[in-house]
Amino acid sequence: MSTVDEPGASPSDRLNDALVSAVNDAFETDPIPRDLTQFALDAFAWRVIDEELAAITYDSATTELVGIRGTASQRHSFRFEGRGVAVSVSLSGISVVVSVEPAGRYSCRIESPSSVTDTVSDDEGQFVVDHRPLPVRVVVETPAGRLVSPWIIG
Amino acid sequence: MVIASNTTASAYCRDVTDESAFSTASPFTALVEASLAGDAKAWQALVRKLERVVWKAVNMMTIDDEVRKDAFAATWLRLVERLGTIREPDKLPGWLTTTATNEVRQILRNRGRQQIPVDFSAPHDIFASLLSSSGDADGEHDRELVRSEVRGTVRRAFNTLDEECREILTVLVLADPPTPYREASDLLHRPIGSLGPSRQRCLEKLRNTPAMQSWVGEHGG
Repeated sequence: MSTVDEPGASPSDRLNDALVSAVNDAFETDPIPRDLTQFALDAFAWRVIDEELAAITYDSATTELVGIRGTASQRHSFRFEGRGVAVSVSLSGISVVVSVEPAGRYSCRIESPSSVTDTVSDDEGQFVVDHRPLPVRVVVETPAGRLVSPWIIG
Repeated sequence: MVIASNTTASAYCRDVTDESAFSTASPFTALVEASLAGDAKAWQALVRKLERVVWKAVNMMTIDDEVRKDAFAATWLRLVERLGTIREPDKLPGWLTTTATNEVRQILRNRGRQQIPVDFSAPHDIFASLLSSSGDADGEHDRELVRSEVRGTVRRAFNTLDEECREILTVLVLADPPTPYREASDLLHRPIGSLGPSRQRCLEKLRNTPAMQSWVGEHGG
């Protein structure tokens, strides 16, 4: 246990140092579940190479009072931009609705650690796929290159 | 999946015949650089080197098992996502700690979850492991029993702190050596001058919890 040894250290400083050590020690021993270590190792497969990581310009989770009445998991929408397009995504318990602007046919991909779905938007730049659990992210092939959203976690 | 599911830390550390020279002893800068270049061994070493920091951070932030697991997973997805933007790899422990605390807060908020009342969870796994441990009552066993009880008491007390105090203390005390104030100030988006007083205030709160009173008495408080 580390303590402050300088003569000037007050008893309160010494007590705080002992407290910090005690807190560190108290949380040191939790075994990490194996499946979590494996998830961290496997996460490497999701690295972003030669893609542009989009900027989130709107996220209902951070701008609205969701969750107060338990509705947070039912609807979550966000918007991201980059490579000359803007993408709106609406997640619900039933589906994922994606809309790309400007309108047009784009190759798109919905990724989650357990599944990957490739699709093409309609002429309006829209498509719908079945609900999938979070975390999820959206990849759009634009004329300027591939754009990938940050992981939507919550 | 890139990595075999039976990978273990010991197997990895002995794996010196592999052409990749990376291990947990490699510096963060080399591991980040090689991971960005696609070296899976370098990533494995990064995970092995830092997974405890992340797990400890999420455990300090919440006792909600589902939330801490999801936050742990989210933190690694974030690191993979942001790896190319890490400018000072030596600060990864602090970065991961803060990211982990943020992910816990975000998940709790998005799901409209309340922190689980402390009396019903954290100590149980400790006492359960005590009860299931072997019954030989030699001195070492007794000492371990006492250490476990102290850990349980400290955890119970820590878990009663508000989210802000948990986050500040997690970021400031978890890393070894502790995260410097300047770095913590950047990571937490808090003025550097507020960190010392906040740390002091949160430690005082912890000291004053009913659960800590006998501990404080023993330590001359």
